[in-house]
Amino acid sequence: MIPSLLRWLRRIEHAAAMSLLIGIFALVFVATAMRYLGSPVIWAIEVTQAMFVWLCVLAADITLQHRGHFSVPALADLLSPAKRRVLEIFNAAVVLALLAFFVRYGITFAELSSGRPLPIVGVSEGIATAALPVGFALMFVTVVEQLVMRWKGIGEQEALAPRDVM
Amino acid sequence: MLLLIGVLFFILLLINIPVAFALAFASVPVFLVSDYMPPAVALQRMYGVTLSYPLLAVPFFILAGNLMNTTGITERLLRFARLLTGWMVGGLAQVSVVLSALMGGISGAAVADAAMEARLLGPTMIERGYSKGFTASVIAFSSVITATIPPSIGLILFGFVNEVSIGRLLLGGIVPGILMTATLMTVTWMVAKQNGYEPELSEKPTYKELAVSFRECFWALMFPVFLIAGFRFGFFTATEAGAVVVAYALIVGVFIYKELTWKAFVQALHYSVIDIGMVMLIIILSAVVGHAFIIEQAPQEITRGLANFGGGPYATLLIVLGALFVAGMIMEATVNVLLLTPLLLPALTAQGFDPVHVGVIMTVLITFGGNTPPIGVIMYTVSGILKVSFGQFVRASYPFIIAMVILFIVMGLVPKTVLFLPDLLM
Repeated sequence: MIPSLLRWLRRIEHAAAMSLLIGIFALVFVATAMRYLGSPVIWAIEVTQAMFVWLCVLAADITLQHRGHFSVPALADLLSPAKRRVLEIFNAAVVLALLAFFVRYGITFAELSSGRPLPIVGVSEGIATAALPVGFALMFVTVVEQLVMRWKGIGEQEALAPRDVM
Repeated sequence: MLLLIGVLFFILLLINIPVAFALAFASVPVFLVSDYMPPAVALQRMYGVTLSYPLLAVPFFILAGNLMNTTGITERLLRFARLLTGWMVGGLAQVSVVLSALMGGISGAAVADAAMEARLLGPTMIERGYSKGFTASVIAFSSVITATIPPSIGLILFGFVNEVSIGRLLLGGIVPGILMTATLMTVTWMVAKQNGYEPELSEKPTYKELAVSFRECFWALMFPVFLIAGFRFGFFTATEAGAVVVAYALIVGVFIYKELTWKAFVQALHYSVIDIGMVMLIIILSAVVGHAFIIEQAPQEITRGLANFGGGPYATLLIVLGALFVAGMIMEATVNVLLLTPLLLPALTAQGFDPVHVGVIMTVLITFGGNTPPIGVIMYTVSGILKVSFGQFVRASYPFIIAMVILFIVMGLVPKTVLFLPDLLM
């Protein structure tokens, strides 16, 4: 039940992140072209910004699912497998506490901002700011899932090779 | 308080917590003790980052880079680089340097370039008798050129976080990129001569061969020219340029080289999402720490400290660059740009340095830090692909490190090396 629900969630997230990336590209490209044709699309910036914050948090969660966030495993690798497992559980707890903190205050922030409309489009700003609590909640789910997998000792996933964009 | 943030951050980092979360966790105490920072402000800071329009250039350049690698542009540039330098002593190593410079015009990421070259050139080089350490280090060090020639994601991030003109920064990277190419080619030539590494081609190419190959890569080689002209005449901003690059990669891939398939397109999107997730989480969460730094007045403290230290502007520059060199050894590049440069740049501009001049040097130096042990993402990547031990890598990297340090000193002493093109064109 839960695994198949998670699988669906992941599929939707992945499709949403890719669509947002293409959508943002298309919007900025068309807006640039229209600016030259003399009829700028004034709402484009606002809409791209709202899409961008969603892209950021969804992509961050997808990267987390692939264990692609940069970390320094050198010291942890020196530990015995049993000790490393303890450390991993401790680390997951630290990250979960942080994410819970962000979800909690992310909701406050989204509520505060939802009263404001976006200046041009007129929709509540909450449509953009809600991305933060939702995104951190998704990351919370991912870390819990990885913790459960680790606990059961199944599906141990190799970390992605270190990547950097610079 | 700042010390507490620093200590907490390093402890979390060493126990293998992802750098983005370590940064955020380390700044939590500031929110808990301070009266004027309710926790919702932290979230508001994160949201503020995503409202930055220039920052959208980053996902675009990431996507464009991943697309380029699937469109057949890379192979064409490799053939061109091989004709240009394959006849020299240490032919394949020279090809690797020149290929990085050519790739620099379409890609903004050193690590991606290093990974690509390690797969494409590395095994052949080792087969032809190049030592493993030398093969890995020439590929790793030359990839820094890619991050210098526009578009450069590092310079875009620097411009974003320090509010410096991104157009001028990108133009400022060109001459240093060319100087670095020449420097690395010289070192490669010296090492190759000493070790008797043979040329790859038995004779120089004819003009006809070069012309044919040039025409094949015309669209890729014209890209930086197009980009620079765009900035020069104000046709587009960095973000718009990013969107134009993506369109360019799609058009070249689908209509000109006809090698971009649907499957490859989806694959490029997938990798881009992962790259974007990694870098954006760091950017978003480091905004929280950055805010804590500002509340604690860290930049002012550092500026005052360095000014009181005396010795004049060049002593300050030397200290700052030395600090960044050490930071590059122990920290990952995007974090160094996002957290350290805003702390250090005010000290330099207060002493009369141009932010574009020192900005380019700082960013290149930070990228170069990907090659210095113990923590270096470029070094990890190349050594991992080529199965080279860090010891072998480090032993072979000394000549490159010495040459690059000399180049950084020259760039620091002669501002024109960086500012020549931005002053001429903008």
